[in-house]
Amino acid sequence: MFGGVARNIPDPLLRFARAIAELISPARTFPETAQADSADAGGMVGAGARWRVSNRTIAMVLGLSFAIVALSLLDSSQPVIHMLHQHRVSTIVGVTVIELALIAAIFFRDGDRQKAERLLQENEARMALAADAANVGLWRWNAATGRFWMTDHCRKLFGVDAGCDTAVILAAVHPDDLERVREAVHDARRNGGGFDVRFRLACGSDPVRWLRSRGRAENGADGTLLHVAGSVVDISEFMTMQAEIDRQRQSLIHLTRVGTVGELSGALAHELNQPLTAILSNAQAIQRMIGQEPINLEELRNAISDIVDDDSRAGDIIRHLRTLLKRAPIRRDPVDMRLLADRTVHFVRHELVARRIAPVVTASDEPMMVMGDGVQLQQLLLNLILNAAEAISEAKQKNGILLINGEVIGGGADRRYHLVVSDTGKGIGPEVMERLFEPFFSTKNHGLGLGLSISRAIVDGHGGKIYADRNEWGGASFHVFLPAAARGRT
Amino acid sequence: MPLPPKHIAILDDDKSVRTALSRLLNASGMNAVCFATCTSFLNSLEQNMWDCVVLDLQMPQMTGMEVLEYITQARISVPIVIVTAHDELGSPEACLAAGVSAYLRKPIRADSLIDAISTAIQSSEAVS
Repeated sequence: MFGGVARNIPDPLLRFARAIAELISPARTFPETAQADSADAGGMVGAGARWRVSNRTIAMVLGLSFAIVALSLLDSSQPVIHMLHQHRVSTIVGVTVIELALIAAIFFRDGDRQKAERLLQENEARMALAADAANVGLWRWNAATGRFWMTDHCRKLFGVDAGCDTAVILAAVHPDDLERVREAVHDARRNGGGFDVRFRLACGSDPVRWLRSRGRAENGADGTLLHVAGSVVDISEFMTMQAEIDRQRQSLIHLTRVGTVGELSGALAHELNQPLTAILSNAQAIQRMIGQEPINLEELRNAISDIVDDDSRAGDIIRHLRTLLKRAPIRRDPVDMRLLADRTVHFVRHELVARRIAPVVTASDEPMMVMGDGVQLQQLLLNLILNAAEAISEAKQKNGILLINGEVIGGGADRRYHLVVSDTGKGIGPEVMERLFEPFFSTKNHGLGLGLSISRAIVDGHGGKIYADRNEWGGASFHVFLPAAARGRT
Repeated sequence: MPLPPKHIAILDDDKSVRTALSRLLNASGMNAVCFATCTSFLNSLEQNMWDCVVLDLQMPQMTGMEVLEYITQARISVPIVIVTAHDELGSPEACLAAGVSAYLRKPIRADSLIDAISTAIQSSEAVS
């Protein structure tokens, strides 16, 4: 309608209308930062552009209307013209009134929109302020533009500028953690779920800064990725404290292991003395044999061969001891629990023999692999075996039974190694059962009461579970479940 | 005419040790026989064929002290030399009080072992 009217308006009138439009159209500008922030937050650049276009159009129409009405009034002052064009003038005035009403409605609606946008901006500002106060950074990655919207705090955490793209953010992540971050976000995109990832920054700062980001990928109705949004928190202090706790825990585990080996010193001295006795006896036998005529060469060879074997045996014991006593970083290797159980029982054989305990190890023939630290897992076995031996001794049993059974249970992702160490002792009462794994809790007259709490810490550290119950002989059974290593990794 | 070799029984649960000890005693002109278990050794006592017994203290079925106790109760007269790496299972005093001829700690010097066995046999022969 306006187009039709405008086409019939002479040029001077149009120029007048534009002038009116310029006068009444206020310059609506948005702060540059707010525009950039809002761009990916809700497509407000588009809304802002629409606002400016409609604003100019309305002003233009308003100017034209003023011009037409003025022209009509001027024209109506001349009676001849007024009489000649009475019908046309009436139509123009009528249309103009309707247009003015429409324009008023549009202004009213635009006023509402402006108000809504202002509220949105205020809400966003409040949200960013609250997030900043909580030391939480907020971000959103727009799949269409490949760029990030971030709160100021988020930008400060990453050390990046506003509106940066994916490459800039990934460059800020520590190279060693990059793959983990990518996998977490890609998984969230593929599965349409959330992610929670911890990573270090690659800024080379000392101490290292850790961030934790949680977020969610959001897809459109057609399944295409729209954006990924989330929060980020600086967890450097938490990670530092966590590292200190881990360090203290590892120290305690190591110290208790040294203590355990110390308790076994008598049995270990015996274990080492056996090959040394054999070596010395064989060597002295050889000294005598070579002085005899004729020399029994076959027996001589056998004696020398035995010396070599016993030397290896003594060396194995010393290496084993050194491994247990040494404090080394935690490892994650495939460990065959069946072999480890055999080795551990052999290691404490003399201690068990001295206590008149016959250990029985049962396991299937297949390797029972778990991913873990071989030394700590052996410490776990040592603790449980010695705990069972102690229980049998306290019950003053002769020829008590100590049963160590291992099996792999479950399948797929739930495939687990199940270890059971059972004894024929007096069992565990309900009041003791509740506190069994508490540090410094012991029913024995000696010892610190750390063995079982350390065992639980080791099991926890390997992502497993441990509990105890009363077995069919009235003694105690300790059950350990550890995630089995993937078959391909054995 | 040389004397016939002395018959020595060696009771030790550790195969390496009993094999090495028997090799040493055989190379020293004795006739050593090894036993891995107390049961088999105690059965052999019925034949009263041993001039001396070399006995370990720490064994799974019975300790050396229990073997000594059995021999005493059975009134079997045989000289016994203890060889051990584990003092806790029987003190030298307790063993000697139980009638043991000698108490040696592993590892053992050949001369000490042979002297102890010879002395034990001579003492036993003198008594009988």
